[in-house]
Formats: sequence, C-alpha cells, structure tokens
Amino acid sequence: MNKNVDVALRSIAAILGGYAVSALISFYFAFIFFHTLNQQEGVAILSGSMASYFVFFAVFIASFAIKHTVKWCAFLIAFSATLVLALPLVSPLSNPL
Amino acid sequence: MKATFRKSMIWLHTYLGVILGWLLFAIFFTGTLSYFTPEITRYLMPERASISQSQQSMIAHSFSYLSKHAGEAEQWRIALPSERSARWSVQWREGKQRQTVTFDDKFASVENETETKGGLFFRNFHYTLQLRGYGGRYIAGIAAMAMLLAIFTGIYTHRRFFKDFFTLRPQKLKKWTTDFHALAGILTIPFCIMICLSGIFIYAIMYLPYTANANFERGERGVNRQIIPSLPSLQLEEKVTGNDHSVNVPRSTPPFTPPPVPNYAHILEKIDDQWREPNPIARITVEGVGYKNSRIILERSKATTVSNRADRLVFETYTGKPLKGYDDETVPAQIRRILYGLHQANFAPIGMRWLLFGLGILGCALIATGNIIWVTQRKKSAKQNPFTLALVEKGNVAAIAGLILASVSFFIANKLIGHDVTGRAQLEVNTFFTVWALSAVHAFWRANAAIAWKEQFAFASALCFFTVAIELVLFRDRIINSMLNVDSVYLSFIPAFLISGVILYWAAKKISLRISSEQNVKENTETSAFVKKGQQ
Repeated sequence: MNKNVDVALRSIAAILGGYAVSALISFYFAFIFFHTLNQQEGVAILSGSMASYFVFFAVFIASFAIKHTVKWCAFLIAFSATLVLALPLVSPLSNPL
Repeated sequence: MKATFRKSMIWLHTYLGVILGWLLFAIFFTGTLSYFTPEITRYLMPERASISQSQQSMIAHSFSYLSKHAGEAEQWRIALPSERSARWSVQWREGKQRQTVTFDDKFASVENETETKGGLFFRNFHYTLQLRGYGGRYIAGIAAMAMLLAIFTGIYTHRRFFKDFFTLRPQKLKKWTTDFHALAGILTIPFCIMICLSGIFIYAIMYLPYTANANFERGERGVNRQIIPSLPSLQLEEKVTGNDHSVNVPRSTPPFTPPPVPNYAHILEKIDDQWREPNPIARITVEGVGYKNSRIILERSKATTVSNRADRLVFETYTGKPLKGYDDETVPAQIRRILYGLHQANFAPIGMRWLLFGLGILGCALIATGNIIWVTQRKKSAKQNPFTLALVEKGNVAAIAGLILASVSFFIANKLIGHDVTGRAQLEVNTFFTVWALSAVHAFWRANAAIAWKEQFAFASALCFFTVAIELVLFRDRIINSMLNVDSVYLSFIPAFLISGVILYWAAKKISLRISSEQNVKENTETSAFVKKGQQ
C-alpha cells in the first residue's frame, strides 16, 4: 500500500476510530458499574467515561502498532457496529442486566 | 507499521511531538505560571498588601459592614485573605447585580482597584487558549491526551533508562539537547502523567458526554447535580426576632431594619477544636439573611487537603447550632476531585509549590528540546522538505521564545499602563498577543533561525531585567512597605525575574557561541576547499 494512504488510514483509525469506540464503550462501562458495583447513575456515568479514556489510549497505540492496516480498520468498524447494535441493551442504565 | 513495535512508537513519538509540540508548550508554560495564580494577581495589583488582621476581627468587620450596607440581600459572602492572595472581600446581590467590596489591612474599603486579569489570564489561557466557547477546552483536552501518548511512546524510544539518565554531554550542543531531552523526560514522567491524566479527567464527561446525555435530561449538569452533594433548599418564612440571637444589636425603626449580626463568636469557638491550623477559614456564606432558619456555611482553606473541595461546616446563623452538613462524595467523584486538586496544587506549601513549578519548567524544556531535536535530525536526513523544515524551525522560535517574550510583556504592560486608563485589563491582554505575533514575524523574517533564537532570548532577558527596574523605580514605596511587613510573596517576584533574566541571557550567549563556531567551521571548510583548488 502507498505509504501516505497507510499513514492516513492509521490516523483515522486512531483518532476517529478510537473516539468512536471509547464513546460507545463508555455506555457499557457505565452499565456494568451501575449494576455490579451498585453505583448511583451519575457516579456510574462518571466512572464509565473515566475508564473509557484508557480504551481510547489503547486503540490509538494499537492503530500505529498493528501490522495489517486494512484488517485493523475492518475490525474497528465491525466492533463499533456491534457496539451500536447492542446499545439498546445497555441504554438507559436502568435496563436489567 | 514499522518493522518493530519500538520503531512504530518512535515514529509516533516524532510526529505527535512535531504536530502538537507548540500547543503543548503553550499549555505547559502558562500552566506552570498558574501554580502562582493568586500570587501573580497580587503582584500585579499594587494595592494588595499583606493583611495581618486576625480572622475573628475580619469576620466581625465584614458582618457589621454587610448588615449596614446589604441588609436586604438574601445571601452574603465573605472571602477571607490567605497569605497567597491577600484578598479580603464581601459580596452580595442587589437585584441582579453582584456587589463586591474589598478591604485592606486597615479595615477601609478599597476604592478604584487596579483593573487587571492578573494571574487568571495565564490560568484561563492554559485551559481555554482564550477560546472559551469556541472549543478551546476541547483543544486542551486533545493536547493532554497527546502528551500522554507522547510519554508512553517516549518511554519506548528511550528504553535504556539508566544509561540515558546518567549521560549528559555538555560539550557537543546537538548531543546535549538529546541527552537533556531524555533526562528531563525521565525526571518528569510521574509529574506529566499526573498532570495530563487529571487534566483530562477534570472534563471527563464533557469530552465524552453521550452516556450523560442519554440518561439525564440536562446531560453533564444533570450528572453533576446528582453526584455533587448539596444542602436542602431553604424555605424562608419567619423573620428572625431579637430573642433568636444572643448578640444584641441596636435596631433602627422600620421600614428598614438591618438584620442582626450572625452569632459568629460562638461558631468560631466551635470550629476551633476541629480546624486547628492558623487562619483555617477561606470563605463564609450566609444564606437566607434575616430569616429564622438562615444558615451559615464555613469553608476551610484548601491548604490542608489534596482534594479540590475543602471541608465545609454548616451552622444555624443566629443561634450557632451546628447543622447536618454536606454528605460525603462517592469514591469516583472523590477521585476526580483529588485529581483536580493535584492538578491545581492548592495544597502545596511554598517549598513544594516551587518544586512543582520546577517540574513544570522542566516539562516545558522537555517539549522545547523535543521540537529542536526534530529540526536538527531533519537537517541531517536526506528526505527533507525545505518548506516544512523552515516552518518548524522558525515556528519553534515563535512558539517558545515568543511565548516567553509575550508573558514578560504582559507583566510590563501591567506595570506601565496608567491606573486610570479605561479597558486596561484588555490592553494588557492585547499586549501579550501583539508581542507574540511580532515575535513570529521576526522569527520568519530572520533568515537564520539561530540568530532569531539568540535575539529573542536576549530581548526576553533584557525585558526581565527591565521589569525589575520598573519595579525599583515606580514602586519603591511598595517595596519598602513589603520589606517592613516581610511580605515574602511580593518580594520574591524580584529575584524570580532576575534569575529568569540570567537564565535567558545564558541561553542567548550559548546560542551565539554556537553560531560563531558554526561560522568558523564553514569558513574553514571554504578556505580549505579554496586552498585545494589553488593546489590543483
């Protein structure tokens, strides 16, 4: 692959992909904290969003470390899509576990 | 992306640094200055001399002033001075307007205060980049995340920790910068992680608001409303009568009856056992002034807590009976508060504050040397693009030396602009940005970046000495007064500027030596080439 295209794809995966995945996963974290640790709604949301920054960090680093760019992008898209589809299960927080 | 994980990380480190280095430097530098926000404000306001009254007498005076002038207000606020701020003021609301009166050491209200943003200018620039409402705080968040990533990737770049740590080759300037970069990086790892992580977590929900928006009607505000403990709202019905308070106050005839003075003596006695440090109170709020169930909230100074929420005690205003105070916060909310508190470092006594300031400066130097290294490496490499190289090389001068120049000019503008000039606070800010822009023009105008470095550092050094000179000439009375009162906060600004001036002068000197040595090398090679030609 052309090197510039490769870098551009990886940057998009890191910045947009990382943000999308961490934003989506914050719903799941908040849901898990709400039900397993019995936190208040607001507290669960706060801890959920704090935890999802680590996901952003990991996705960002991985985007530049992984070998196959296209496979990684495909994985990120598929993963985000799954997270979006399963969103009604965890949002609102009051859904049963 | 590259052959090994380490090589990919080095690549990432390089480009994160080049793209966000200037932004990071600006945020780090102004943030480092913000460790002294109240001190800078005080330095920039000549009327803020240290206040040596006891808290008891200040509270007494504040309440008698408030009951005389703000009897009809529903809420009173008293801000008591700390050694750092030396600001004693009372505040109340009249209709929609907020009234503030500041007092000095002699219980007189200060008229006509110096209009300045003071240390708050640096503090606000640090996290909003003067773009509040236009996404400034988001940019600052991106910068914080980029710094965390740069630290992580930087650790991979310099994996030989101990060897790097004990290597500093001062003779060779290019080696010196890389060695210094590694050394500063290792020293500041914990500091930078703490600063960047807490910087992100302060606005944790603002940057990722989706869960909050999905679950609360008012989004982040709704979350905060739920997780930040508050007091029950007051139902104000019955006015207080003479029997309800133990302090007898002469009452004038209707229609206007000033509310009685709160029973502060009794309350102060009570908190004496709990808050044992000297001058423990930072702020007092009275809610429902003049009503029977009015309450008084005392906020402790932040000098004794790492959290950014100080202890608060609540009493009935006119009987002094303790009330049930605020609930404890939950653990995650406390984590955020403690990170916030660590970020602001209000807890730090003066020695520790200087240590943090030093670490902040080291962090700035880390970012600056990183950007300089990129330029020197790029000059050596074959794949250079003359446009980006010149852009980064000259931009470095404007971003680093220019910001230092601009900051010193802010202080000078404050000292030189007349006290009564209208809009002087804005003039100071304009000076800051004008000088910064001029420095950029100068940097791009100079063909040789090294000369631009030298000239700007030399000029900044001269400005530092100039600041001291202005102080000595125009504010001699203040200096003498401060010496008599041993006002160490104000007085330490003078040596601080002198030392900065010396350091900047040293840097300028170092660069000019380098320029002349480079010229010698060039001339030598040219003459030897000439000699060779002649021999042929």
